[in-house]
Amino acid sequence: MYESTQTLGNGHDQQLANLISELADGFGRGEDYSLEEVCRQHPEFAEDLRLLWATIALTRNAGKQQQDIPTRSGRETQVRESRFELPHDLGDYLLEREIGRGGMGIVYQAVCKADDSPVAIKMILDGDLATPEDRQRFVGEVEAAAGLNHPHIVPVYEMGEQDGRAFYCMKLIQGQTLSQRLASGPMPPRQAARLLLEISLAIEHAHQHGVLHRDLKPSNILIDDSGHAYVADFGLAKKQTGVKSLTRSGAVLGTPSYMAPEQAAGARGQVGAVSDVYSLGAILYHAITGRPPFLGESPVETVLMVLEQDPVLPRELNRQVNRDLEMIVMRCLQKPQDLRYETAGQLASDLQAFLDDRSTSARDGRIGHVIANLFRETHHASVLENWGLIWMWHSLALLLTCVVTQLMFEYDFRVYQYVLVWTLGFGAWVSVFWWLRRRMGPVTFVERQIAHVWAASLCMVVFMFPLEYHLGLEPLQLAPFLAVVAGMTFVIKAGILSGQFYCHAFLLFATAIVMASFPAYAMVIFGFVSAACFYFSGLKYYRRRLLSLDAAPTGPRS
Amino acid sequence: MWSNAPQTEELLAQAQTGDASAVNNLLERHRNSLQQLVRIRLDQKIRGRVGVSDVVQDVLVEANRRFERYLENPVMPFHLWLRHIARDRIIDAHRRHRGTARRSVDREQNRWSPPGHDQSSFQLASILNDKRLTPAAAAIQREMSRRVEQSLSKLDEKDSEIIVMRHYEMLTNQEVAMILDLTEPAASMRYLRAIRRLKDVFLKDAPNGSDGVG
Repeated sequence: MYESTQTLGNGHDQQLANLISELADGFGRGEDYSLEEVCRQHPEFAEDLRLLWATIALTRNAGKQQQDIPTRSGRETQVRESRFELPHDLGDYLLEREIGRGGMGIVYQAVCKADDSPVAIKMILDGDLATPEDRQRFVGEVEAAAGLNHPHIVPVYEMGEQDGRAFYCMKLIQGQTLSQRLASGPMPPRQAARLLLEISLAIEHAHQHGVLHRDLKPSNILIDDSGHAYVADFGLAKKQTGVKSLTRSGAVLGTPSYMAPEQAAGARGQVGAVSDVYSLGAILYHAITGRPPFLGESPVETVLMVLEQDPVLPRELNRQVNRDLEMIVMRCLQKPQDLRYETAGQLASDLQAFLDDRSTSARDGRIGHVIANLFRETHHASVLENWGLIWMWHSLALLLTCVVTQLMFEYDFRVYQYVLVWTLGFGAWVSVFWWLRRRMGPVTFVERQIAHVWAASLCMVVFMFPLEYHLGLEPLQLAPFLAVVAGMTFVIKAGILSGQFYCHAFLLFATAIVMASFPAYAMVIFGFVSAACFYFSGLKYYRRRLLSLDAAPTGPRS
Repeated sequence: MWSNAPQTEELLAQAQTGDASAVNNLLERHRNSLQQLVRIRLDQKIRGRVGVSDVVQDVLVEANRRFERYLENPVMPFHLWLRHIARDRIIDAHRRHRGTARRSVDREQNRWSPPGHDQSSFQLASILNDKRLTPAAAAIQREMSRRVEQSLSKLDEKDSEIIVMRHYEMLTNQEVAMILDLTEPAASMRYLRAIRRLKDVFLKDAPNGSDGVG
């Protein structure tokens, strides 16, 4: 509709359109204009141009920025032939046909001229080794893989370079990748378990030789025509004992769907053998359910899911999955590293036990894990490091206020005076408290939630005094409820921050009963117990903060 | 974004005489441009499954296959012809892999994913044309680009399409007109409207200095 009205001619708009079109063409050729100059030349459009200029400039910048992302090939590719006429002569080898593409290159089926034997050659994609870091990673990949000798690891024969293009030669596996196999749907569970058993043994072998795979995913697993599995592409492999890792700079590598949480978070120094165990579990999950454990709309979303969510249980996706196998998978996919199998070997022996219909260790550990999980710190617990010192001061303020309240009771103070102490006195401290916290940096959402819980419990204290008065009770007769409310705040903190706070909560609930039994000392008892709860947790996290400050040379983390 | 025309013409002429290396050379010269085009266009979500280079490779193979027919009847300039093949390939890739990637309501949003910080405003546009950017300015520029792309994703396909063609693929008005089968004035008019709508979206989304949580 618009197109037709336009031809009828809103003359001014059409001329403006022609003008900015011309300008945009100029931008495309790399020319630059100043707004003022253009407005001077076309005063009749000055107003329109001023309105649209910023949008055009921003869009143009955004477009240009996309262009500036260096194509990895850079200048050099212009000269190099990057597609081969097949068959292609590559020194000792003759490339025959393309059989696949991996992260860094194209894999060809080839013939070794010396003995006429079939091999696979992985040619590194043009420009992929443009930087020394890329080259180093490539050499690392080959060296790591070449040192391994296991029936389920694709053997690497040699590394070479021809016309400046790196390649390596490995055994040719006739078959398909696991990801090709899974494209048509899940595998029968026992078959998947058998496959993963072989892979786990291979990974265990690599681990014992100090090599982590770090990028295990279905497309790195080859299945030959007789159904055996082979691990390929130690693309991100790194010698465990090696010096600085190449990916240390924090770049997250790998496919997030199969990545362990510690890898997804880019956590320094935490990536180890159990990260590969996680990936093995994720692959098994995909094999039996037909989809990876986490799959978001974008890599970022996937990473968030990997960090925060629990996967849907495999049996909910595929009823044929046996409960034992499900537990094996879920044990691999535990977010805390120490809840997973410690080694790929342990995973392998559990898979073997499952295949032999013996009982698996994943099942035995179930209850213990549930309890261990309950008392574990959540990923929000790190906010407590900012609170440690403040909590220690808080415990003092709390104790003082409680003792003062008890003394007021001894000396028959009035209700409004109690209220004043708790609003003005304790309230003043709370403001200082919050101010201290804010000085340390931006307050997170979780901290805001917890602050609300505290504020609510403070309201409870302040309301207690007039309520007692209205009910015709002595002051502090309802005091045991203070401990109940304090316990409640710790239950909430246990859910958000760390399961250890369940213990504090329990202690405070018990204190309520003690307070009811000794009403004369109720406030003092409450003061000491609740102060202790804050003091010792505060001390713990304060110490941890000091440690983490020592560990991080770059200063406090944000 | 596309290699300069005279050389392309020369190579085309050589190819016409049956020079096979000219064909290869011709395709090779466009590899980078294709790489950029595909990177701009390929849905972020399916990149795990298909790499940009894979699609580019496919495009080159396909172009090689159809090259003779193109020479017989060059209906459009060579680079637009390549672009045409690339678009088909990308649509193919999307179709093939959409099935497994969950369908997203605003799928366009993931077409680009530059990282960014949340601390800039629309008024900063003026600094962006400065050639020597400080690191902070560069970060702002990245953020602004991200915002542009977000806003683009909220436009109608027709509007975002023409802006991407003009500013990301850097096609001229004439080329855009040819691709969309419009007259040149109509193409520029469509561009003007798209820019106006983009500006509306942009202003609507501009932050009002609210400080976020977490």
